[in-house]
Amino acid sequence: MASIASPLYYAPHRRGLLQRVWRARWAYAFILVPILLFSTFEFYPFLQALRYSVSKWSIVGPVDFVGLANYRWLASDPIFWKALWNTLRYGATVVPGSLSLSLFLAVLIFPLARAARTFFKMAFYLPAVASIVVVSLVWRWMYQPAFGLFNYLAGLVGLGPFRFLTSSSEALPSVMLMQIFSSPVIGIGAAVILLLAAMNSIPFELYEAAILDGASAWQKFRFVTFPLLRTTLTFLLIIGTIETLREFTAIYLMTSSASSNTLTGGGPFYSTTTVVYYIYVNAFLTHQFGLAAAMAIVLFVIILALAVLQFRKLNLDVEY
Amino acid sequence: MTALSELSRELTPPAQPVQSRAVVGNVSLHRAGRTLTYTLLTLAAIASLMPLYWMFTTSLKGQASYLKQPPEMFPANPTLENFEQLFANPTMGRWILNSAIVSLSVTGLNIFFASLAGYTFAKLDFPGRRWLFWVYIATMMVPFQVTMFPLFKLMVSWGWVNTYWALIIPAAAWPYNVFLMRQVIQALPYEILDAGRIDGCSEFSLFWRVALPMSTNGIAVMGIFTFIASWNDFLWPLIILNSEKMRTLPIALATFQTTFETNYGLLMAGGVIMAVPMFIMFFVFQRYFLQGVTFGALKG
Repeated sequence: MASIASPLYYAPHRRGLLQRVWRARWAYAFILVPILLFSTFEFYPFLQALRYSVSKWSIVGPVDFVGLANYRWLASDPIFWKALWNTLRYGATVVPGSLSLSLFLAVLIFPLARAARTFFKMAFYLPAVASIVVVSLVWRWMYQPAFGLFNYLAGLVGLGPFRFLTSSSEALPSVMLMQIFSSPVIGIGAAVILLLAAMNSIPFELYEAAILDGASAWQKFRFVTFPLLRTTLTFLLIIGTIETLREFTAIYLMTSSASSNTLTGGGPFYSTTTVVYYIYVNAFLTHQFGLAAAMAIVLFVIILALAVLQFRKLNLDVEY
Repeated sequence: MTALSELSRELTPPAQPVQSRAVVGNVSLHRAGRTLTYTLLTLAAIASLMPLYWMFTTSLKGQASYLKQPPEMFPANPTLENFEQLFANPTMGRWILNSAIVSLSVTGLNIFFASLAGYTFAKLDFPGRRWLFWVYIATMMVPFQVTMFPLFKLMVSWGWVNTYWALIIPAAAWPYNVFLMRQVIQALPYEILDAGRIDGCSEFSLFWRVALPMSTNGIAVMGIFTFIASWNDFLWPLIILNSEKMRTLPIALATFQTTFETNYGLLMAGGVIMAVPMFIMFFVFQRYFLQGVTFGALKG
């Protein structure tokens, strides 16, 4: 299953390891720099993070081993539980919301003429090109309760006014809505384009067969399009989950100090404090690096578990 | 993880000519269906583009008009005063320069090193290749939030806080790009490399003169997405930069927010300055964006 092809160009069997290494010296030379970078800036920090998570450390001073004290502290910290709940709620809304909307839009776009397809793809993708920093600030401005665009538009149809980001119940959904539309990774832009590319590669004969069998539009979608998009959807689901659960920028920019009534930001009454945001607070505002590292490890385990689970559950073999 | 690699290979399927899209689609394009399709899509497109429109128009509104109620859908007295005020700030040029230096360096280094490593993993065999590659892929799944403090500590001990080095060197060969270039280069036939070897190409020129020129499409996609991801990168620069002069645009913009809390005209003008280069890239390299590959997506 490992997809590394084997051109056994360099490595005839039954040679000594040293000789094989010597014959492949170019390969080692080529990957030397990337491997050095990788070990220094990714792998070593990862090992260090594991160590910090069982230590007490605040940027200066010694790193004291404290066993599982950080994890025990987290388990008893109500804000951490709140952050965990917010994170899961966030992922469980943004990812399926964005994917189902994207699938719907892709199905609508697919039969259109080429120019129309290009136009709509661009219209949906453009927000993803503007940085999440820019997009977060724009949405924050539109969410502004007194002068923002959204309350004005809501007023036109007799709704609101809403408090959006300044309300503990509306803040997180407000950020979610922004993510569904504008996230560069899981937002509708990228997903629609990927789904359309996948739809393009579905063999036409399958639809012909379906039509011969008298399939309705819904049946064509249900029994041909959807099963064959499964691989792409699984990919989007996994990547989307990973990305959404570690989203920081939007939370930080939309709900930090200015619009919230807590000192540390993260929304009114921690309503938008996700694990990632809480990590940031603990590390860089209160300097409890050990705690922050433990949270990061918990987050990593959750993300990994979800990714593996989704993959196992969803990637049933697709027959073309 | 194997599966992920399988998946992303399947994500760039050869496009097939479709005889009749209308038959394939699920909305039969009768007149009512067509009207409904276009109505729904147009509404969604408006919702999608509205924030960008609002950013541009707000940036053109003066102090007096952006807080008007009801808001002006189209600025009645468009003015460039917000942009003038931004550029009156002497460090504004420096921030743009910082962003450009960092993004261009990161992109250039990635194009070279990630392609070279991708090529090595794809086409050369060497003892340790397999486990090295899996360590790479597994570490790719680690959220940046896990590694950022140790990385921060490393930067402090090297004295790299507030330097370009801290922004450029750790990002010089994103594992994700290595992985993607491996996928791209793997598609090249071995025969071509063998022919090059027989002709006496050195190992490096096999990469430089044979593999690289044949992968320009993949490299372009990688380069574009790397540039955008680097230009928009937020969390790492936020942590590692604390002097005003060294800020990149996203950090500068985020600090505007606290400085000019309610001056949305100015904030939106900053957003326009940051977004416009990306829009230009998007329109110039449109076909790479719209072909359906989300490179760079994993960079957190």
